[in-house]
Amino acid sequence: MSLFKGISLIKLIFLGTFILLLSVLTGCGKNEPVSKTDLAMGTVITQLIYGNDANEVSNNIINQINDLEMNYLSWRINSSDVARINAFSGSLVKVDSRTLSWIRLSTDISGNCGGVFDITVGKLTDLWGIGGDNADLPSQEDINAAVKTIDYRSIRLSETQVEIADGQSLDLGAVGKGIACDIIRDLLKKSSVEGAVISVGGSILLYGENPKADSWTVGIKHPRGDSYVITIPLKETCISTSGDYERFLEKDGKTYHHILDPKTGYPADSDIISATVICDSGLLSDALSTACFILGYEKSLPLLEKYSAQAVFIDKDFNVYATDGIVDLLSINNDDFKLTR
Amino acid sequence: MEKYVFFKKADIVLITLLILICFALFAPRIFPQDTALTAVIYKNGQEVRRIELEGVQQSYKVDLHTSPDAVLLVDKNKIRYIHAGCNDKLCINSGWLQKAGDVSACLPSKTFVVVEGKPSGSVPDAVAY
Repeated sequence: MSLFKGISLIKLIFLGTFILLLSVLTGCGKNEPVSKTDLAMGTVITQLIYGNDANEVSNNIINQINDLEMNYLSWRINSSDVARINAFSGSLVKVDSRTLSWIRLSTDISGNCGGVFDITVGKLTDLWGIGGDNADLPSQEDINAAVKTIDYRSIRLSETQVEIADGQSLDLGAVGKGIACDIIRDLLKKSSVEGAVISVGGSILLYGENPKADSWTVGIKHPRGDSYVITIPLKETCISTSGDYERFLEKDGKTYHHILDPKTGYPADSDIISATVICDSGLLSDALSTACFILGYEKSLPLLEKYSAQAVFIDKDFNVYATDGIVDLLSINNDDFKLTR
Repeated sequence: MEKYVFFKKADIVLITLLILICFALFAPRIFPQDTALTAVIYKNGQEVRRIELEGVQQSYKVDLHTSPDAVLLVDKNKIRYIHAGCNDKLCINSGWLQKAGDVSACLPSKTFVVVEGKPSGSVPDAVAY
C-alpha cells in the first residue's frame, strides 16, 4: 500500500499502542451488565450483574430463590421445612442442615435482642394477615392468645431435627429476603461474575467490585415519598431496611404497619419509621433491621455492636441517626431530613 | 542537503485517523446520552407492552385485565399504578415511576412495571426499602 510506504514501522507501532490504550481507557472491552427484574418469593427481584456468564447466573438466581421458598421457607407450601415444622408442632421434624443453621442463628439473635425479634411469631402474623387479602384488626382476646405462643426459647434443635412447642408457629418472613441474599452470594462466588447488585424485595446484596466506580452506591427510601433520601457508598455487603410504610392495614382511619412487636402483639411503636442495617450477612441484616425498628436507636446500639453491624435510623420527625462506622459516609439529599450526631 | 519535512503526507493521514478514533471513542462521554424512558409492563412474568414515556401527549389508563384488577396511569415521562383490586395497595403507594430503574409491582395481580433508559445524572445502584 502506497500510504504505509510513508509511515515508518515505529509510527505504526505507536498508532497500534495508542488505539489499544484508548480502548482500555474508554472501557471498550468492558461488558455491559445484565439487568433483570422478576417476581419471586412474593416480592420483586432486581438484578444487575457484571460478568461473562451473567445471563446464566441471573437465571440460576431466580431458580435458587424459588427453591428456597418452595423447599425451605414457605409456610404455605406443605412440603417446605417450615411448613412441616409448623404442621408437626410438638414433635421433632427432620429438616435440611441449612434450615437448622438459619433457625439457630435466628434464635441467637432473639436471645441478644430480648426477644423483640422472634421467629415463633407465626400465629400473630397470620392473625393480622397484613399484606394479605384477609387482613383485619384482630380482637384483643385473639391477640393475647397469639402472643402466648411466642417464645423462641421453646425451639428445640438437634443435629438434624427441629421441634417447636405444640401450637406454636414459625415465620421466617423477617429473615427470608436476607437468607436469599446469602444464598445468592454463595452462587455468585462459584461463578465468574465480577460484580453484582441484587435486590430481593428491598434487601440488597452488593457483591464484588463495581466496574464503573470505586464502590457501589445504595439509596435509602424516603419513608413517606417515592424517591430515596440518603445515599451511602459501600463495598461488598448486605443491606436491609425495615419501615412502617411497606405493608400496612388501614382500619377506621388508623394505620397498622406490618412490623409486629412480639411482646404486645401490636405494630411496633418506637419513634422509628425506617431502620436500615448493613453487615456481612443477609440473614443478620434482615433480622437486625426488624429488631432495631422495634427497639429504637439508643437501645439498638449494643445489639449492633455485638454483631459488628452498622445502621441508619429515621424517626417520625425525619431526624437521621447513624452508627459511628457509617455516619461520615451518608449523603442526605432532602432538606426535610436532618442528621443528628 | 535534503529539505526536512516536519509533516509528511502520511503523518497527516495518521494524525487525522487518531483524531477521528478519539472522537468516536469519547463522543458518548462528551455529548449528553439519550435519556428517553420506556415503561416495560410485565404480566405473569411475560413482557406485554412497552410505552415510550417521552412521546406521551395526554395521560391515559392501561387496564392490565387481571384478577384482582390492576390499572396503570401513563403520563409524559412517568407511569404509575392508579387502581388495584387487592387490599394492601402497595403498588399504588409506590407512586410515580419516573427514573430509569424505577420498579413497581402488584404481586396479587402478578404484574410489574420497570422503567428502562439511560440514567440521567448520578443514581444509586440500588435502593433499600
